[in-house]
Order: sequence, then C-alpha cells, then structure tokens
Amino acid sequence: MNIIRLEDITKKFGEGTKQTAVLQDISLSVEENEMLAIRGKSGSGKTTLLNILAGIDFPSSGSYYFRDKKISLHNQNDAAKFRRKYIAVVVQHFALLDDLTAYENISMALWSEGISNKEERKRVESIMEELDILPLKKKYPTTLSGGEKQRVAIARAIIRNPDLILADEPTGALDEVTGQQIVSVFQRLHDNGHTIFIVTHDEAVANQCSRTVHLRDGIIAG
Amino acid sequence: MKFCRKELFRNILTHWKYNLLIFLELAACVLMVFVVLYNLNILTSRSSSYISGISDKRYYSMEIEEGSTSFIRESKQLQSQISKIVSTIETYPKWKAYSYAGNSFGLPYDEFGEKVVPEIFEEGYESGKLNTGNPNLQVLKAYSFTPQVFSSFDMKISEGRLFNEDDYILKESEGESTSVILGAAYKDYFKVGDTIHGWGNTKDMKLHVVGFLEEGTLFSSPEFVNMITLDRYIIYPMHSKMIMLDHSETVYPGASALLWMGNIVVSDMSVDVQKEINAITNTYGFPGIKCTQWGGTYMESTENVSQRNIILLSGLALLLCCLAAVSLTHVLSRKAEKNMRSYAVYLISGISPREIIISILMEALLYAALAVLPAVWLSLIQFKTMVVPLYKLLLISLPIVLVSVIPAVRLIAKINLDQLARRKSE
Repeated sequence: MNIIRLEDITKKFGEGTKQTAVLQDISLSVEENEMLAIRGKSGSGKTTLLNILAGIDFPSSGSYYFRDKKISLHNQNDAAKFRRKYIAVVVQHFALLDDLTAYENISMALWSEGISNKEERKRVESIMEELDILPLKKKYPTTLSGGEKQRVAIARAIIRNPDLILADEPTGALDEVTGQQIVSVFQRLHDNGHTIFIVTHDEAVANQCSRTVHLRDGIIAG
Repeated sequence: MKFCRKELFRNILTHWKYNLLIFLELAACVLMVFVVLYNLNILTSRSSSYISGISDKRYYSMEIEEGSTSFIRESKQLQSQISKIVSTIETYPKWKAYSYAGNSFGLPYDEFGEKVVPEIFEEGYESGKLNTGNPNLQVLKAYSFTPQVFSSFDMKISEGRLFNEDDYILKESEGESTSVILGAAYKDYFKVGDTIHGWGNTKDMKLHVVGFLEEGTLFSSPEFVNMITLDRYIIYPMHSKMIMLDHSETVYPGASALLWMGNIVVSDMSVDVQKEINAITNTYGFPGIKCTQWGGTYMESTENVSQRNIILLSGLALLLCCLAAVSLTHVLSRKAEKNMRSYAVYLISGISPREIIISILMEALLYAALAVLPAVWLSLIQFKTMVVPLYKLLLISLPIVLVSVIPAVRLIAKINLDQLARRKSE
C-alpha cells in the first residue's frame, strides 16, 4: 500500500512573469516501510519536495495523497496537526534549541500531547536509550558533537511514533564516520517498521536506501 | 497547556531583560493612571456634592457682633436666654441651623508598639506635621456635630445608626462611653459595637462605635478652601446637656456654640436670613448676630483648579500609555523575531501556531497582571485599602498589552517555516 502518492505536484515561487517553477509535475509513490532516497544537486528542488510532504510548504498545483486520502492543507495550523499525527521531520542543522537540555529538546514534541510527566519521562528515556544518548540527557546542544545532536533530533522526531520520517540531508553537517552512524540509525528504524524518506546528495547514503529517485531542475530524472 | 506553561517559563528566563523593560513600562503607565483615577474619584465626589448640595442652598455662618461676648458673659439675664435663642434658631421653620467643633481623639499604639491606623487618619497629616506630643499616641481627626449637620449635608449611614437623643447627653458618671460615628475608612479597623479606649476629654475615654458614614461623605465649613471627605474622621455628638454625678442636669457649654460659630442652611432663596435673625435677637433683647454667606464661589474655583489638574494629569497619562504601547510593540516584536527560530522548531515538531500564539497571549496577560502590583502596593501602603478598584487597573494594563502584542502575533502567523527550517543553529 502507498503511504504517499504525489500527482503532478508543481511548486512555483514568485509572482506573474517572475514566477519560477522549482518542482514541475512531480508524480511519485512511496510504499509503506520503504526507505527512499531523493538525490539531486543543490537547487534541484529536493528540500522543497520534502517541505511539501511535511506540510511546511504548500504545492502550487497537483494532488498529495497520504494513505490514499487527499491532503488539502490550507494553513500552518492544519499542517501542524497533520505533522503531529503522521509525520516527523529531521533537518540538516538539527534544529535544536540551545537553551534546552537534550532531554527537553526531545520531550518538546510531547508538550502538546497532554500526557503526564511520568509518561513523558518514560517515553523520552526509552527513546534516548534506543539511540544510545541517555547519558546526554542533561547536556545542552552546545556541548554535544554533531552526531549526538543529530541523534537528539532523530529522537525528537520519532518519539511520537510517526508513520513517516522525513530527513533533509541528515548527514550533511557530519563527518563521514558520524554520517555512517546516523544512516545506521535510520536503517535500524526502517528495520523496526518505519517508512523513511531521505533527501541527500550523498551517494553513499542513497546506496543504503531501498530505492533512489533522482531530481534534476524540479523534474524526476529517474 | 503544557507547551504554553513550558514556553512561558522559558521565555521569562531567557528574555529577562526584555521582560523587565515591559514590566517597568507597564507599571509606570498603571501607576500614572492610578494617580489620575484616584484624583478623579475625589473630584467627582466633590463636584456631585457641589451640584446636589450647594447649588440649591445658601450657607450662612453666624457670629455674635464684636464686643458683645464679654457683655453676654456679664449679663446673667442674657445667659439665661441663650438656650431659648438657640432653640428658636434651631427649630426655625425657614432654615436648618447647625454647629460643629473640631475635636480629636488620642488612640494608643497597639501591644507591639505599632500604629493602629495609618498616619493619614491623624491630625496634621496633610500639612506633614503630625502631632508628636505623646510618642505612643495617634492623635486622630474628629469633629463634634449637632444633629442638624447630618441633614444639612445629606449625610447617610452605611452601617449601624445615627446618634439618638440620648447620645447628645453627656453623663458624668464613671465608666460611661461616648457614642461615635466613624468615617467609612475606619471599617477596616473597627466594627459597630466596638469600644475604643483612648485619650479625649478624660485620660481614659471610651468611644462606643454606633455607626459608619457612607464612603465619600463630604463636609464643608467657611474656613475650608474645599470640601473634605469624612472617611477618616471620628464624629462625636455635640452634647446639648450634661447629667452630673448627683443626677442634676445642666446645659452643656457647647450648646451655645451655635451663636458663636453656627451655620444656617436655607433652601428658600427668598428668605432674608439677616432680617429674620435680627427679628429673633430683638425679641429677646439679645445682641446682634451677624450672618455671612459662604460657600459656592471659592468652592467652585477650587473645583475648577482640580479639574484642570486632572485634565493635565490625564493628558500626561494618555501620553505615557501611548509611549508605552509603542515601546512595548517594538519590544514584543523584537522578542518575537528573536524567538522565530524557536517557533519554527516548535512548528516542525508538531506544535501548532495557535498554541504558540496562546502562549504569547498568556505571557502578555501575565505582564498585565504583574504591572498592577506596584499600584496595588502603593494603594495598600498609603491608604490601607484599594482606593482604585483592581479591575480598573487591569483595564489599563490589559488593552495596552493586547494592542502591543498584535504585531508579534502577526509575525508568527506569517512565519516562513521553510526558510527558518533551513537556517543553521544560532
């Protein structure tokens, strides 16, 4: 079954004659429990595609189906609800808040869930243990290495047990060894049943995914 | 709600300089408006009394003509006629006649050596010269009134009762207490039925509280430049007669005060007061009593000056509120801009813009609530009560904060999540 189906998605920026199409008639399907890589050069539209899938940005035209249900997001409130229910996003530069501890950066995703402090602690510690970052729970992001930060960001993304994990250049800010460790984390999550959608320009990362889609100038090239 | 609570706490800690600035600006506004409202309250009660009490009545003060006082003292016949003249003037159908006298009461400090009531209740407070003759005694403001004072000034009782006939009789027997009516502000310290021990005419004088005047009860006399509120005064009955220890009765000396410092209130504008008084004194062969009209003109001019001050103060308060609103708008927008990356992270993590905006509004409400605290503190320290209701103070701080927060909320509504999500950690 498709978890995602895109039909003729186009995204244009600008207005009138100055409009530029970043994505043109993208049609793409992602199966449940698939680990898909989107590759392409800078400016090819990879991140825009991921943003549309996450509801961070909205398409200019075309249809977006999530588990065969058409998604029509009109504003950020609807998009936030959609993300909270189904999707987790991991961004290249981790998006951690420096004045919160690693624990708080992860638990943040549960703050609007209405769960007790006890339940929150149980879930956060369990996910930190799974990603080998439990000893870092009281540390602030500025004292963490790039790999540790990315693990914290992944922990925050998966703590709500999302159906789909979207990762934008998850190894882009990391060295090769650390990058490989992060990819292993994604593989482990994939093995545990998560559907993963990785945007990368790194061939090594793409090679470890079950399928790779190439994007060139906003068009799927293969 | 958990997010709102956490975000509120986080914002208070991380942006304490901004928060302090917001608090100080709002508190200054509320304090300024508090001063205006307090003065406006006084002005309103004065002017309403002026309209209801003075405009349709004429007030006259009475004074025995110069040189007659010693003549009366020497003439036993005239002395015996004093009570008849007083009675005639008091019961004359064309006017109301009343007299009063300044008084005081010495209230000892409590068992901890502290003052029982604030200094504003003491004599000399307004001039800054408190009576410090006895360091353990508060000399409180008081008046003695004849029964007609209450009706002449439309004074009403909010609790308890007015003086009865018995209250106007001074009994010399030991252990007797004097009935008193207290101003409204005394309600915080005493209640009807209380007996207050202190120093008055005797070393151990006992005051028995029989009632409280309505808040804002006003009184005036020829020597005042404006009307005064009796909220912090003790009102004694002006005794008309005295019962001695041997049960014999005598006219109390104060009873003749009407002739020396009495006042007449006339509602019928056609009455020639001086002519009528002359007729009464001539009947008894009594020396002339000079009647002088007072009130009205200088009370009106005092009111105008106060009104002008209020207008000036209000203008200043309005200016300060506008300045604070502009400044707060800038500070809150700047704070929102600084927080924009955090908001983006929240949004990516599944927290909705609505929740973020609610957290910002909650923070704004907290500022508004905190900003009234200095005014509350000032009111309680200065007056021991809230002279301006709390809700009125909140009605100042809340709109300023809510107006100022609009641009910050609009910034969040227009957040460019894509751009912020791609931005590197700062």
